[in-house]
Amino acid sequence: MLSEQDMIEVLATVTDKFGGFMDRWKAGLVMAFRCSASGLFYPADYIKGWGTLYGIGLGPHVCSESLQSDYTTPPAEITNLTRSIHQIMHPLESSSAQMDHVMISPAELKAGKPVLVSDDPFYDLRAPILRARQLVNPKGRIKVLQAKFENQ
Amino acid sequence: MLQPVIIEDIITIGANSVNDNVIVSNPSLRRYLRSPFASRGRLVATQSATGLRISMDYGAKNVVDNSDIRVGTDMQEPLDVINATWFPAEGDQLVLRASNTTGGALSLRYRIVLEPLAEAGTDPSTIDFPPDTRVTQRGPVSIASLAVDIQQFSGIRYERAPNNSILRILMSASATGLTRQLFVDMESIAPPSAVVPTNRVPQDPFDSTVSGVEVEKDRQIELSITNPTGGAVNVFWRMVLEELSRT
Repeated sequence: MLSEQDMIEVLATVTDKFGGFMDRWKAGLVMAFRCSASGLFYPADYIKGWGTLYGIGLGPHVCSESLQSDYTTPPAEITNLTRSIHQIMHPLESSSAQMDHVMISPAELKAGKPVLVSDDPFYDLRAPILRARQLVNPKGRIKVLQAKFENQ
Repeated sequence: MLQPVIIEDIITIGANSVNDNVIVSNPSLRRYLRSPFASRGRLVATQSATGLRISMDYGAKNVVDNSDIRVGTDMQEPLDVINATWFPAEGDQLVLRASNTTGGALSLRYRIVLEPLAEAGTDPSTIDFPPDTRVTQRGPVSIASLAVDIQQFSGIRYERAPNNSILRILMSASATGLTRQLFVDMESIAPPSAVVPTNRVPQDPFDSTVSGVEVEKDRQIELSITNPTGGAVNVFWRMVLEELSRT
């Protein structure tokens, strides 16, 4: 004879349509949304907070607010008004990628935590991260421009 | 027979910088710096991520003032048309200015279409230019929780109509809860009403909320937004002034 607690657990397993959600929840995993472009993990309230906390201006349909570099568009030209080489980089674009629901460990969530738009509306934190990637990406052209700027 | 001229480009605007005229930044487009004939202009634009503002002038006249544009890696006509009713004369200089106040480079995607108003060889003095339309568009503008922003147009170029015009307002909110009111001087035009939560720069005609309002020259246009919700909500708006006479 099963106890009431066992009955609930059996029932939860039988009716679990989320692919072992109960098991993963019991294992201490937490809910998150993974950006399919960047692989970053966004908080569990991403859909609930769409338009208030996340995705401001990205339309009515939920998508990723993560930034990516557009290597097909050349960087802005260096002119006599360019004060810093950090102004010169390939343009950033909103990836608007698909968001996937995942169950991950709190450590994974912490390791893949993005800089949210609400914490960085003017890209002061995110632009240096992406610029550093552009410098090492073979498709990037800013390494050459950086050398040109330094030799001016 | 004259054919239309279509200029299209994608250009990067560096972090914390201004490009005074993006048309001249592309050497192959420099020859279209001036309108080659009397024409009807149409400007379409999008940006790669939030942070750019654009202005469009022809000759000495501004037709798009310091406006935010939709975020997207494509351009959809007619939804991304900013202004399709401006009429430069032959030789008028076109100036599309873009400013980026963010710490990251962003790209501007734009298209300018000039459709001829008259046949080749027409005496310019006989061309009857229709009145222009002036546009300004902003968003996202954050409205704090339990707050009223009395005047969204405070200090902008078209807070007072520069000419007798017909006013249209298009609006969108990032989430539900906002209400808006429109006044022209002391006259209440649109009582408090909900703003649609489409979370984007307004699309014409889907996000139209007020239209057909007659505004005399120099009268103040006032758009007030109320946020009775428990959290900040962003608003997006576009003001369209269709002038009644050529200036």
